[in-house]
Amino acid sequence: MAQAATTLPHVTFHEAAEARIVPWYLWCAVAAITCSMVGIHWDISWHRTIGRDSFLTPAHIMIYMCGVLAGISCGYLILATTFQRNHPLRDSSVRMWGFRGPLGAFIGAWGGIAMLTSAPFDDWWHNAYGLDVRIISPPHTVLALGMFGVMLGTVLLVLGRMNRAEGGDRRKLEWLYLYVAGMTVVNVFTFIMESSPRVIQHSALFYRNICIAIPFFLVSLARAAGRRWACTEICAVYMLFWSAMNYILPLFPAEPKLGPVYYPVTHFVPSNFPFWMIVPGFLLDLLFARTVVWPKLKLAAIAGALFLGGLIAVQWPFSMFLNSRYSKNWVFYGNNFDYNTRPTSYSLRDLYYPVEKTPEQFWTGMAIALAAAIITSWLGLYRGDFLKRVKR
Amino acid sequence: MRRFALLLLATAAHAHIGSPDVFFEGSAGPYPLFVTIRPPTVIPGTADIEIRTSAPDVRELRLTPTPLTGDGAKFAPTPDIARRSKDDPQFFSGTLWMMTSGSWQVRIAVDGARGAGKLSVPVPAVAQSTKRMDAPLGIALAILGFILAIGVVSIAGAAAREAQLSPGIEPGASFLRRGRRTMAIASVIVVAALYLGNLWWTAEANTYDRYIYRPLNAAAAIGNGRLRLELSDPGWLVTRKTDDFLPDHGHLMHLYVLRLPEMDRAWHLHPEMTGPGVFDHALPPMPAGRYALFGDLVHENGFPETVTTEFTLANDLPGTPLSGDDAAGPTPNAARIVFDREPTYRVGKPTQFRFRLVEANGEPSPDMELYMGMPGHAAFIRLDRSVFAHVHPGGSVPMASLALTAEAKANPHSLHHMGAIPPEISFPYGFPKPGPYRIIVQMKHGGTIETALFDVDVTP
Repeated sequence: MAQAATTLPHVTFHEAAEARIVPWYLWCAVAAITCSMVGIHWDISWHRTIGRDSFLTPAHIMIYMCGVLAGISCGYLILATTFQRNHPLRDSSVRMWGFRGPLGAFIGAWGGIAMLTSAPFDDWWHNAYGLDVRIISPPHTVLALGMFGVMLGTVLLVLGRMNRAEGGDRRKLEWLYLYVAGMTVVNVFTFIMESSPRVIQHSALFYRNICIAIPFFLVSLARAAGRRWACTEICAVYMLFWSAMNYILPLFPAEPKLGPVYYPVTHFVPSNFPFWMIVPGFLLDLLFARTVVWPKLKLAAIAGALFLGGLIAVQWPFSMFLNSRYSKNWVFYGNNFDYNTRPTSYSLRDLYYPVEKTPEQFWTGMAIALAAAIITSWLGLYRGDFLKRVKR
Repeated sequence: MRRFALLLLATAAHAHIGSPDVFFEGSAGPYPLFVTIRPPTVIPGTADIEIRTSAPDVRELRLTPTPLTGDGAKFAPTPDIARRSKDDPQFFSGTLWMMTSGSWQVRIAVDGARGAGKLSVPVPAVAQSTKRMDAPLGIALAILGFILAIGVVSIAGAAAREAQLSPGIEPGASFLRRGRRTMAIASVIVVAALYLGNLWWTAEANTYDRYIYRPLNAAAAIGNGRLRLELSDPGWLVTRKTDDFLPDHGHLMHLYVLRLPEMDRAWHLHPEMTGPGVFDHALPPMPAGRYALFGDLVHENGFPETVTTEFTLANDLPGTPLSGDDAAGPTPNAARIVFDREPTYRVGKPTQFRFRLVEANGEPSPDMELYMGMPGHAAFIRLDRSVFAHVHPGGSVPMASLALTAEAKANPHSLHHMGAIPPEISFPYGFPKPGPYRIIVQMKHGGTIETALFDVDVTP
C-alpha cells in the first residue's frame, strides 16, 4: 500500500486544529439518522393505529428532517472542504466531480438527494397507483436507499474520524460509532419488519429473512469497531432503541381513521418486541476473539452457523412466550394488534402460520438460511476489513 | 313475425358513464342536506365531500366512510369532523380515504339545535385510470435519477481510490487502477439495479392495471321483435357476478334506448332477466335506424353499473305497444314538461335542475302520480355519449343502493315519496365536463307518462 501511494511535498495536517472530538457536523449527522429511525417507527405505528396519513404528519416531518440535517451536515463539509484551502479536513478528503470532502459526506449527500427524489416520485405514485398500502414500493425503496445512504455516510464520517484518532479520543468516538452502527442495524430490521412477524417465527422463512439481511451489516460494522464486544454492543443498541420506541409510542392516545376496525385501538400500536440479537451477537464476539488468524471462509462458516444457531436458540422459545397470555402486558406488548386485525387472524389467535407445509420444505428453508448466514458473514468480514482502514 | 337484422357491439361504461361524482339530496333527521361526493380516481384514494344544508342550526357534521355491505359496514372507524366554511357557515367539506374498489357509503352524523340526525350516501369507488407522468416531472426525476446513478459509480470509485489513504497522501497508480476497476463494477451493478427496478415498476403497474374498472360487456341481438341483451364479464374483480342484480324501482334493469345520431327519440324500457346475465324484452314500435343503449343495473352489494351497446334495425319494427312502466318520447300530448333553466351551466357545479308539468292552458298538472316510486326520472347524456347519468329527485344514487344503508333498513319508508305529488320537481346533478348535453325528463300524471327532451350547453 505504501508503494502505491506517494507523499505530497507540502502536506499540512490541520485536523488537530479542530478542538472538539465530535464536531457539530457529526452531531448533526447523528441527529439525522436518529430522526429517520424515530420517524419511520412512528410512521409505521401511525399506519397500524390511525391508518391514514398526509404529507405533513409529525412522523413524516421527522423523516424529512433526516434529509435536511444530512444536507446541512454533508453540504457544509463538502463546500467547506472544497473551497477553504486551510480546512482541517482538506487532507482527509476524497475528490469527486471537482469537489472535496470526507467520503461519508458524499454518501450522505447522495442519500439526501435520493430522499429528495423520492418525495415527488412517491407523490406521483400515489396519484397513479393509489395511496400507500405497502411499505415496499419503488418510491419507498428510493427513500429507503436515501435513508440508508445517510446512515452509511454517517457511519463513515464517524469511522473515518475514529480511525484517525488515538487513545482517549478514539475511545470516545467508538461509543458514538456503536450508536450509529446500532441504528444501521435498526434500519435493516425496520426494512424487513413486514417479513418477520411473530406468526412465522417457527418457520424457516423467518430465519432465512434474518440471515439474508443482518449478518453482513452486523459483522462488518462490528469488525470495523475493533472492540472486544462490538457485536453484542451493536445488538444492544438495536434492542434498546427498538424497546424505547415501543415503550414510548403507546403512551400517546390515537384512534383509527380507517375502517373496518376489527380490533379496538386507543393508543399508538408498538411493533413486535425486538429480537434477542444480543445472544447471537455475544456468540459472534466470543468466536471473533478466539479466531483472529483464521481464514475468512472458515471463520464465516462458523460465524454463520453460530448466528443462526444462537438466533434459533433464543427466538424460537421466546416467540412461544410472546404467543402466550403472559406476554399480554406493557412490558412485552404481546397484544400489539393493528386496528384491522381480524378475529380469525393467526396473530390474534396466537397461532403460528404454517409457512412450510412439509418437514422437507422446513429443512430446505433452514439450509438456505444457514447458507445465507455464512455468505453474508463472509461478505461482512471483507467489508469490515475495508471499513477498518477508512481514514477519509 | 319478421326477423330483423342485428348488430352486436360492446363498449366501455361505468356506474353511470363518465360521471363518477355522486349528488344526493336528503335529510339527516330534521336537517336537509345536499351532498356532493367526488370519489377518488385511484384506489386506495381520497374522496372529497361537500355538504350544504339549508338548516341554520347545524352545529357539527361528522363523516365516516365504510363499505356499504359486509363486515366492513359494521366496524366503522372514528369519524372525521367536517370543516365548516368560513365564508358560508352552512357549507361543510371533508376528505375521506376509500381503501378498496367496490360499494362504499359515507355516513353523515349531524348535531344541531334540534337534536341528532343521520344519513348515509352510497358511493361506488373504483380505480378509473392510471395517471401518466407529466413531462416536466419525468424530466426532473430522470435528471435526479441520472445524478444518483452516476453518483453511486463516482462514490464507489472515490472510496476505492482514496478512502483508505492516510491524510495528505495522493493515490498512486495501483489505487487509481483500483478506483477505475471499482467504477466499472459499480456501473454494471447500477445498470442491473435500474433494469431490475424497471421490471419491478412494470410489474407493479401491470398489477394495478388489473384493478382499473372494466364495465360488464353487453351484446345486443334483435330477433322476432325482441331485444336480447347478454352480459359478459371482461375481467375485473373476481367477486363480480352477472346474475346478482337487485330490483331498482321494481326492475332489475332500466334501459334507455336512444335513436342515433340525433338522439331525438328516447325509450325507457325494463327488460326481464331470463337467465344469468341475459335480459329480454319485447321492443315497442321503432323506425329503422341505429340505436344506442344504456342499461342501469345494481349488484347485490349496492354497486351500480351502466352497460352500453348499440343495435341497428334494418327495417321499421311494428313492435309491441308500450305497457307498464315502459315509456317513450318526446310525447305529443297537450300536457308538457317545462324546464326552468339557469342562465348558465358550469362544469362540476352541483345544481338543481327544475322542471314543471303543465297542462295545455299552462296551469300546473293537477293529477300527478309517482312514476316507479318517484316524482320523476331524468337522464343526462352528452351528445357524444361519453357521459350518461340516470338521476332521480333524490340524486344520482340508485334507490337499490340506498336501500342497503343502515338508515334505510331501519326505516324502509324513508325511500318512498310520501304525501301529495307536486307538479314541480328538481334533480340534483353536476356535469363532469363541458359540451352539449341532452336531458330526458319523465313525469307521470293521470296514468300517462310524459317524456321530454331538453338541450343544454355546459361551459368550463
